[in-house]
Amino acid sequence: MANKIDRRDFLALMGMGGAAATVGCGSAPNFDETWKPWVSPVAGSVPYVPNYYATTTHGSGGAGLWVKVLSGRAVKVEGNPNHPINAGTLTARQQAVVQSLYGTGRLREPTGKSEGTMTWRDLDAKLKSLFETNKGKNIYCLTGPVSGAEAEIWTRFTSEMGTGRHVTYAPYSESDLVLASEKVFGVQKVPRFSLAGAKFVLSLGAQFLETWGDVTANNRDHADMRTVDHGHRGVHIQVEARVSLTGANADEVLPAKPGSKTLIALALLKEVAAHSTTLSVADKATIAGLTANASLESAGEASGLGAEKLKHLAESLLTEGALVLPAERLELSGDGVSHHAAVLLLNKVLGAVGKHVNYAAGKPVEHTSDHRGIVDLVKDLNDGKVDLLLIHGTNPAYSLPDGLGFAQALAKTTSVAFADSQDETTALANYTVATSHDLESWGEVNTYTGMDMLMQPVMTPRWICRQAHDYLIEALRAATPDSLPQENFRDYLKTSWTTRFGGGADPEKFWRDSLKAGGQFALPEGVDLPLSGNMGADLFASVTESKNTGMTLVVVDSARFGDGSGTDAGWLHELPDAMSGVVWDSWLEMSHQTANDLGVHYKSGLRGGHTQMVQVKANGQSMELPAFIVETISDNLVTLATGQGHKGLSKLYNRGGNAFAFLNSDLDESGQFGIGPHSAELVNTHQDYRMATFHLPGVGDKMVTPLSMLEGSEVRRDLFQTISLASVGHEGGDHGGGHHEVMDPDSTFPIHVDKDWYPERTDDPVYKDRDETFYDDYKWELSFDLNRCTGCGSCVTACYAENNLPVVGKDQVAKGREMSWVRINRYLEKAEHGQLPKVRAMPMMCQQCASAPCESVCPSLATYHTKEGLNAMVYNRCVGTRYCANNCSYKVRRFNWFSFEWEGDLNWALNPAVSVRQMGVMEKCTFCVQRIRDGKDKARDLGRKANDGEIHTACQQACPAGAVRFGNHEDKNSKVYEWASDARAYRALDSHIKTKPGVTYLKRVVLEDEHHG
Amino acid sequence: MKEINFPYSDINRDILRTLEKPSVKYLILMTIIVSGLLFGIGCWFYQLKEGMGVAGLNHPVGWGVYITDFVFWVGIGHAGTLISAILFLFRARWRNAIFRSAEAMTIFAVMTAGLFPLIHVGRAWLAWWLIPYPNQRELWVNFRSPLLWDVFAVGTYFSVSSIFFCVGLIPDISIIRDRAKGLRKKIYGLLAVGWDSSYSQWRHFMAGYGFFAALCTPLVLSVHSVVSWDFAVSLVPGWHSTIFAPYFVAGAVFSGMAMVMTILIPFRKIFSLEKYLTIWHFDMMARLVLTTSSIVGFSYLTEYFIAWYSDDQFEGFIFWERAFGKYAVPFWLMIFCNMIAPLPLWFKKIRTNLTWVFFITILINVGMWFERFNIIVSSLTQEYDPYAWGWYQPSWVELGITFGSFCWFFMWFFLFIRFFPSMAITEMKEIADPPTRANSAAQEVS
Repeated sequence: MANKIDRRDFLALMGMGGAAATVGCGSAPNFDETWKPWVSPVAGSVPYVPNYYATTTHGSGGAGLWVKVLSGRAVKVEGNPNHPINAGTLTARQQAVVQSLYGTGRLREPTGKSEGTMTWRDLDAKLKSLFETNKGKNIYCLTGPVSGAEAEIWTRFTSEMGTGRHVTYAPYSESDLVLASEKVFGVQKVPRFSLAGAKFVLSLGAQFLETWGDVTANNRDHADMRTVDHGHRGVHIQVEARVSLTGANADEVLPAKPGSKTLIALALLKEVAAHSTTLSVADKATIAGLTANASLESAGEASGLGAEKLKHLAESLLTEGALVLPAERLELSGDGVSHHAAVLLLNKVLGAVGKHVNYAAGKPVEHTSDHRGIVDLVKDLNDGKVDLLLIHGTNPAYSLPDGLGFAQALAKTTSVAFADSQDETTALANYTVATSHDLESWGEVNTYTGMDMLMQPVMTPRWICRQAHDYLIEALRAATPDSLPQENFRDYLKTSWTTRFGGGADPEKFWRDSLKAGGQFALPEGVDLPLSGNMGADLFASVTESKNTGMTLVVVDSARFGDGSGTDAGWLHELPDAMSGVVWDSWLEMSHQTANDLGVHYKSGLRGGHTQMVQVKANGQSMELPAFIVETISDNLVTLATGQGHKGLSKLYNRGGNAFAFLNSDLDESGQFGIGPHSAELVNTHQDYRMATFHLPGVGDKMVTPLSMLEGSEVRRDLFQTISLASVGHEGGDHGGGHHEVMDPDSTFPIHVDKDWYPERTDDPVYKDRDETFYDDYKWELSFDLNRCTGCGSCVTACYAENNLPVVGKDQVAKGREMSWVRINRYLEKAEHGQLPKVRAMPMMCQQCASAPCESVCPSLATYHTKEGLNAMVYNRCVGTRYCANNCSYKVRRFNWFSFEWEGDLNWALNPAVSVRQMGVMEKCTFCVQRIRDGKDKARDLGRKANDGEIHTACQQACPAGAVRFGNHEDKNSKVYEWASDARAYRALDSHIKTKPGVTYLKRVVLEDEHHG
Repeated sequence: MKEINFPYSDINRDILRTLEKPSVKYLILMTIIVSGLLFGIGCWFYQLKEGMGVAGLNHPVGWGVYITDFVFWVGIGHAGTLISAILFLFRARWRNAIFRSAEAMTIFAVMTAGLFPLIHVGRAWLAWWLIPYPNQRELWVNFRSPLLWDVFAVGTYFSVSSIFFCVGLIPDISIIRDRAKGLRKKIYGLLAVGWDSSYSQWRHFMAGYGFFAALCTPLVLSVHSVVSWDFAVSLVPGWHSTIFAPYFVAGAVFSGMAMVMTILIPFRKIFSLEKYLTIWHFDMMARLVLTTSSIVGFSYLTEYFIAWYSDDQFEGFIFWERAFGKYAVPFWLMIFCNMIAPLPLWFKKIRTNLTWVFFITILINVGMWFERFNIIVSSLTQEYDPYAWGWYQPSWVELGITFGSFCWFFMWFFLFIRFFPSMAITEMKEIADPPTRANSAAQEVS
């Protein structure tokens, strides 16, 4: 490696092809998968025609990614359609990986605590001397959970370089599930839970549509389950006291008291096992023995749900295709093993093991990590047993409980942190080595047995840097010459990959094919397993009722920020929380009653909502957080979401409170730091705090909006619509939709039947007596199935990525100036007193109205109706009168209040097909018109029209639930036409104001009898 | 009460007094006004540089104080032409004393109003795209947009009333020309376009003046009708209403007359013109204010009736929210100032007490500003989709520009009274008793 790099050297290296900088050798590789900067164009590549590279990242949880690379720069991350789990879709968090690539927190150069910023030459010398002096001593490595070739190189490094250990750490551990699996089935694996084909899902709290398990696949399977088939559809019951987004999409939420979930599971297990017809006599006896102490009555009382409800639940479970999912790990207090064991047994009784609980695809225990390793490491650090510590891919300084004293322990050794971005841990390390980002590195992520994902660099590193593994190889080669034939990690990975997976006659081809595919995906089918573990009679003996009676704090996993590893992404901060609509903050969620007791008042104000800071004391920790009042939480319960409260990220993203601080610093029986529902003390500090939300909480989020000062009188708006299952599935085995007559649009607002004075575009007199109609070949339409949509917000982030939407920050959002073209309208149904209201989510974006209110009022004709049914927006012609936005009944037009700027290098991820808008210009969704144009151009080159399914909008592509269809409405065989003419189809507000939107919504199918038109 | 009680011989001297060397007070006042204007200009430059975000506007509320100001000033600009044209055609004698200043006020108000579309658009440097002009790019404007109608309506109104105003000034300017010396004489001479008060000139002048008066009359009605269609043509509940045109015109006359009185009462006092601007004039104007106040009040009630009678839940909702929601204070302020406060004018005692009248007209000005604010803002905040509701509060930049716009208006007015006769000298002479020997004697006796 050229150590001293100045500008000249940099350019020279770029000219040589980035490989030299990567692998630290002078010889130009003869392999075209190396990084190619665009100083000298690559033969055969056309500028502005994107290449897609299949890869994955650690942060995305091994999702299959296709990275769109334009002129040598990664600009967008899309799902790998061939990936069996995410199948081309992505969550918001997975898409935001491109923001961490260009984020302001990226490290550019090595630094030393005493040296300050170092040159690469100095760093290399320093590392060399560190490795030489400590050779044979205790060199420890601390990484995130790694597997495959990555695990190999770390273990090899620690074992060959000295007597240290390789320790893995992640904030979330699956050790309780592994232990439970071992006890119940004798298998040391993390099973894969799948909802595919399920008919009845009981989740004891698992937020499987947001954070738990394979979220993308769960969304898809959940949507499929909800689809009406012959008058029936699957049912989802969620047990949780604070409605999560998953609960919001359940047919019923059972607000069980926190801490009672294991009791519920046991009571249900006892009941279900006793009535099971398929279970063997021996197993029945085993389970009866284990659950002798459980009863519906005690569980019903402890949970506050009542025995009757649980009995009914047990009966419902005894149907074909039932599946039980456990509680969230963070709400299990030390009873994680028994809880998961009970849930596994329940699934065994219900016959779900093999079908929905797949151990054949299970993740081997080696790929997981518990928290014992990090506790031991801290002990060794304190005992002075660690001579050198290398840290990579994990941020323990952020997520470890304070009581463990990681920071103090770390100071007792020499530590080197390899990281692409700054965080709390790099701030503590003696030396910080800037490494390449996952999208610029080689690697491997193995999520399940049979799911081996390859990670390849998709572009030249943004900064001059290498990946951590290259340093390990260099050190190993220096320590013992000839011990390692490979010179860099790419070669190492390639050898390891082809060795492990065979590769057959042509390993080279196999390697290339694997890279192209993004890895190897072959999820094995699940098989039923016998109860063969050593459960022991006292498995459930320790399960007791929670003693918490007063205020309880529950830490909930955040869909946006998760374990806090991807928090430095503006898109995620600006994506409103799915349930509360809050952006840029963390908050204590509480009910009206709780807030009243505390004297907390929330007031929607002109510059955001005004609330008070509340001091929360729990588990020996104290934190001041803003209170946020929601209607979707039980009384005497406050929740705090994870992932915020950073102190070491780049300045913008250090916000809110760190929920991990409340975790116990002692390990539970499965070897992890838990907390569970913890009693908490709340003190209102009466300190005013301003929050930013996307809506006016308590006012603008109601399905029926009451008039101020007037009880009982209300306005129901023709926006979100539901239909009862009974009305959809007619008797006689009709299908749920798609084969019916076109719905009469006038039936919803009968009084407006005769009030449409606007002619259809096709009746335009200009086209009378002519061959052509207004819409020649295409009329683009979009359709949302509200029965599939969960309101996760993945489409919102996809739109940010595709259409160059700026992130405007908390202050601007508080003023109502967010720029999102798609928003998720979240409404609350009216609830009986004391009940949690039903939550409705509806994506809202430009409806491309055929008689658009916005078009007629623009004085400069900057917005007009195209011949393809789009409500086009000509940015260059816009003067900025904002009349169009005023007149838009859906309020989907966004005005550029400023010339918004992109922090750091984030403008590198801009889509060159979409212009970046200047201040004073109106903008909005046009169904990704650049993609339409692209698709039509490609079709034209082939001498035909664009076929159905060739063009996808960004939101449609990202939607994990498959709730979006896009296509040509003129094509009567198109998928979008099928939905638009479904019996459930309606067009928002159209029945009232006759705007003739180009977006159809399919009514949500609810189990309740009454439905609202 | 003798309505015309000034001697012919005093007219020139009294009216032209305002053109004499300015007092220190005048200069101080002018300094304050120009500083305020400069502050407003500074605010606008700040907005141009930073973006519209420095205003309080946001996503549901795209129009706020700027459009309120626009409608307010267009409304103010109604009284002048009404007085000079319509009352001229009706031969109302009380107009002679006030029409010149009212007309000047009209011109300056429309000049002020005309600034606001420029201030309010996101890209002010491209505002000329709103004007249809032939160009190679074949870009054309949208004739369906009410904003374009505005461009024409306000443009026409401004050009016609300016010409009307300038033409009416000619005989008076010739009087100044005859008295002025040096450079002034040359300038006024140029402006007087060779007026020599010959019979033939007077014959043509009077015919032309009548013609312009007839031309202006429909414009009085049209311009504010068109402005009202900015709202009425839209789909916004609370805006979408057929009553808007007459309602806005009545409101405009109402606010315009109030503004005329607000200005003339101190003006009369400062320049000791009590002889010319008598209680009788204010009585007449107060009656007009009372009439228009009743029309405006009736319109408010009609709006509510229709909101209920139409059974349109969205419209019903917004009208309810207007009265009892977040913007209840501006709403009740509007009701009080425009419906309740003018009621005492039914009493002649109040009507002829200028302190009271002045106070009431100030309230009316405030009330009419808030009327526009109410219509514009409260309708936009709560439209069809409750999830997209929002709030609006003006920022300091908007208030600064609004303040600057008042300074801009008064700057022109103060310059006007410094350089032109603020009452029509020739028309005052028309209604005064002609200068005969008998008259002079009679006056001396009385």
